[in-house]
Amino acid sequence: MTRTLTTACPRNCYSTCGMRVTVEEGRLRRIEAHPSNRATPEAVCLKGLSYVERAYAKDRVLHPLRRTASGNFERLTWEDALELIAEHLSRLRAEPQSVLFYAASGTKGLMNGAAASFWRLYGGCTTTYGDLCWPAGLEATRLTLGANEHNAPWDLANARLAVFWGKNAAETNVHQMAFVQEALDRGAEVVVIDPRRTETAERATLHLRPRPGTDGAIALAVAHRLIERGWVDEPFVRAHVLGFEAFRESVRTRTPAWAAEIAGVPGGQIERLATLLGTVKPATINAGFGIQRYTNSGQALRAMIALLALTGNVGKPGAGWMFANLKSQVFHPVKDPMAFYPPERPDGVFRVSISTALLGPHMLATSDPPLRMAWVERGNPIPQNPETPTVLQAFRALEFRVVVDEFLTDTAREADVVLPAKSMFEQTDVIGAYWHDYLQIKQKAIEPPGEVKPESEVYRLLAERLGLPTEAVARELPGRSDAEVEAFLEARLRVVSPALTLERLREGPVRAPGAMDVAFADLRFPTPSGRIELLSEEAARRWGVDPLPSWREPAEWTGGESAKPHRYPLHLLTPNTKNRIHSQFGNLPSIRALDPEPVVRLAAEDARHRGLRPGDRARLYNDRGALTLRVRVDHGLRPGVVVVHNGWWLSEGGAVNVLSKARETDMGFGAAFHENLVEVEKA
Amino acid sequence: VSATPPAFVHDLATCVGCHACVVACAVENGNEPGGFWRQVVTFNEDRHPSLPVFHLSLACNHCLDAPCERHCPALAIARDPRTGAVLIDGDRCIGCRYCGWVCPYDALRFEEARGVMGKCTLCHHRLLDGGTPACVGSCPTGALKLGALDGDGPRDVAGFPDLGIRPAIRFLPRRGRRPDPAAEEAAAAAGAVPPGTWPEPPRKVSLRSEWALLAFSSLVILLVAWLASSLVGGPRVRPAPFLALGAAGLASSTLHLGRKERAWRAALNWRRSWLSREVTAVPLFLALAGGHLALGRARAVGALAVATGFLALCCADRVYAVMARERRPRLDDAAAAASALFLAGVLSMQPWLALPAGVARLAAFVERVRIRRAWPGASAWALAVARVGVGLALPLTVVVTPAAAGLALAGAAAVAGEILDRAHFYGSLEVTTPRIRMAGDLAAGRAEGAHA
Repeated sequence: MTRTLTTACPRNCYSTCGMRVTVEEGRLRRIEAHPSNRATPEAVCLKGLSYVERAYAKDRVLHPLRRTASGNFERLTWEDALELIAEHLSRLRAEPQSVLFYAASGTKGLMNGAAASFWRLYGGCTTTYGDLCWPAGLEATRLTLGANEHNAPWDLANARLAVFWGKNAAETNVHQMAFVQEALDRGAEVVVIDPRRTETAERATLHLRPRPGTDGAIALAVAHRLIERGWVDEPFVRAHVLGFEAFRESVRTRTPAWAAEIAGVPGGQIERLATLLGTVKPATINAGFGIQRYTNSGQALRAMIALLALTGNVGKPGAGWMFANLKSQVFHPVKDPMAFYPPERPDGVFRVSISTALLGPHMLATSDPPLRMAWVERGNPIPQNPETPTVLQAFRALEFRVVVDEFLTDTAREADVVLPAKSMFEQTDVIGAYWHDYLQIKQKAIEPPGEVKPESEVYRLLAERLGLPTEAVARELPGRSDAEVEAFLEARLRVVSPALTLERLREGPVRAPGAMDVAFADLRFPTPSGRIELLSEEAARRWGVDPLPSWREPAEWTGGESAKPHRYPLHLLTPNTKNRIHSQFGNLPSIRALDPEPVVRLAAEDARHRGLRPGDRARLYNDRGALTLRVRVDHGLRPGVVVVHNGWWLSEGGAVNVLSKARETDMGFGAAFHENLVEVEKA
Repeated sequence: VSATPPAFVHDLATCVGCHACVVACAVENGNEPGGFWRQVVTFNEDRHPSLPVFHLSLACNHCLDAPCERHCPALAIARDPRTGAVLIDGDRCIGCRYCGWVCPYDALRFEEARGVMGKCTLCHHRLLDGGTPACVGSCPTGALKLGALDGDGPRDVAGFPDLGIRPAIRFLPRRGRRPDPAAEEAAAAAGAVPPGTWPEPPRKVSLRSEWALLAFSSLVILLVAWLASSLVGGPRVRPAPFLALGAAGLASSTLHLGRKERAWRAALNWRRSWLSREVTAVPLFLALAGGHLALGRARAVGALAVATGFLALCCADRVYAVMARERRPRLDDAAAAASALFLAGVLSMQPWLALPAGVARLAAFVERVRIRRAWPGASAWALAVARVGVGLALPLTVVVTPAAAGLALAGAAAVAGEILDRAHFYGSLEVTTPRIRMAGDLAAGRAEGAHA
């Protein structure tokens, strides 16, 4: 029997593709794009296609496992696994906050809420605040525009100028490139600001390759130039922008020459960027996530948004700021970055005390009670969080670790008990997105293989075994049958909109309530002043930064405790590739065939100075750690910058965070782990 | 029956090299990882400032004049009359891999599990159901479509020269980007593309992969030379070792086949395939040689056997020469026949034959070294000394200054030299691919229109 079902990809990715999955005789056969998702109508990416391989991968965890004394894993029955976990949870229940619950972005969905419900019933736990990914940018946007919303993805085709500031859409948001080409075919200009000559840069009419961490300086100099040349949309600024005069004063000395010196790009290129922004309309700035993982990056993004405010490029088709669109985050409060912040009044149940950016150091420093156990799901924090060696040390210092995963990741390998996680095809769920604004169903298409149980069921079983109050468990945690799961979801959909049902979502993606093609079209900004705030008192109060966008040297340059810029002259960039979502997918044979081993890319002159030739083995190091990798020479890379792609595992010898520093961004409790200076030598 | 296939229309502007087409094809057709039927070949992957970066998404182009179909010895490749797709019949394929050598687009893969060749079928099964190939349906930017072969666009891009075999693929040009003055300045200032990249484009054949063919062809050369020399005063052919070596040669010729039980099929395409002709001529040579020995060494039968043997060697030489559609003829295009002539001259101690043949062998070696340079895994000097000193100079010296005691030494040295040379021949055999060709175009600074 062949069935075709609507589903969607729940990974942490801009595209969040709508999908149609074909199932033959109970087995996945193929994945195609769902044509009614206008943002991803043509096709899914190579990773989405590889799900057919992923669901049936030979190395998938299909049974509970226990780590043996020799470090191998042996199979455990569910009965024994639950008993073992329940023993530890019962023992620690007097001090529930000695248990760390850590979840990351591995799988999105409404069903993930079961975790918080379980831990609340258990009596609490310790959790994290902040996020690895995007908080500085979310906060910069919230402070400036009042909300994280942007124009619909397809609206980019209306832009006459599309600036990609640190975003390589061709690899991380491939569907956006269709709209880029549409804009190009209509005569648009594309600007790319990226130290790498990326695939996206191949379409650019202007490509700046700045020193990493200097984007804010460039933005301020562009603002200086826009003001100097009279390219400010004065009626717009008068009506809708707060703090223009103060900002004008503050950028008076921020000349292109000043920024050129800092960023290491020709002043003429900065002037050309200003000319384009001043004279070509409508203009959209697409900011990537990588550029806001610095200690000065919230301020940098505020400066970028200011460029659009000055030129009136807000609230119009083809114009605006594209960072993240949280319109479809209707179920849980990601809508506002403040959801990532520690609560102002702790509820006494959850101890929200561990900064995600500082996971390792904070875990080790936690006391009263200290952490004794960790439960990790949807994440692989050991290679993916800053300062991998400290994270590893912190996990090893615990008494007991449970990791829920589809594969034996670096983190799962450290667990005492590994529980098999469902794949995206094995339980129905509903997901939002952050580039387009569709709500989508992620449907159960096949029965879980082996002894895999969805997490919600595991929590239910654990709750029973721990003797948690039956009524509360029945109320808070979804039941085990498909019908109960669907009822759980329906109840939550109804709250959002009566028209929103699973039946409707099975037909195809649905745009979130209030979705619109042009964000801020009414020019009402939910900021304290109701205007676009170049001057933000809240920024100063909450984060201790200059109330105006400004630039200061990243902490790593000025020589923090472990940074020695003179000894480590190279900036390490760790961008994502099309082949993985962070540390996912790289283990699949098809992906491995395309991307077999981690490499370090060096500019030709940096390689030459170190006597390195293509294919040589090189040691990449700083005071925090070292990696030994093969060399590729990249003639398009800015000299002084080296690149290792993010997502390789420790066991593959390419985990980039052995070199990074646990440090927070200037705002939003993000991780500033892209400030990373290293040296390279022949191995 | 020759339906025209629809053409792949590949847009170089919108293709971002995302590899979705590769994985879609693999999932649809059950490709093993590493045995993908489709590939994305990137021009200027190391991003030299003087040249653009772009990608070709390539699989089988179902060429209207398909070399794989023409040269398949087993008649296992044919065009489907309904869709125009060039298809491999897995029940007929013997797994000799020769189609993979004659295809200039690196479209064929040996499938270990089945022992036969596989390649893009144009998703024949989907076309017949009214659908499109999986790759075409899976391009996130819409860069790969099916359409008409006739239309505008570059006929000829880096890595993909127009070789006159009418591949059913058409490229749409890169477009839309306004010039970037800084990039143009950098391009003008940049020197030549420096040599050396990693990883290097993989080579399709190597001595390691072709050792069975080395054994087979060396034995045939040796046997033809032995029989020929025996007719002009050389060492007598002793039936037992001669026929044993012949049997060994025939056996070794099947060792590289994926489906040895179908070896007989290799002779079926004698009308069009040099490989079939070689495969037919070698047993005929051995049979005639056997007849010669059985009939009291009748000279006429012996001469006929030798003529057949040389015919087989000429066919063998053509087998390799047909791959060389992109280059001028070389002395190696007659390597096997010349090798047998030289050995026959040395074994029969006939300077009139050995000397000119030896000079030709030397010239072929020098030409090969000059073109290919590297000898895989051994020092070039050791090779040159062994090849020229031991394999050519020593036997020729013995031949021109006859000393009966030297015959065995000269013969052994010449045979060793010829086997070494044959190994060098296989070790440096060029089976070009878009990836290899693209590396050459990059080094020459050519992006488009390079082969017009």
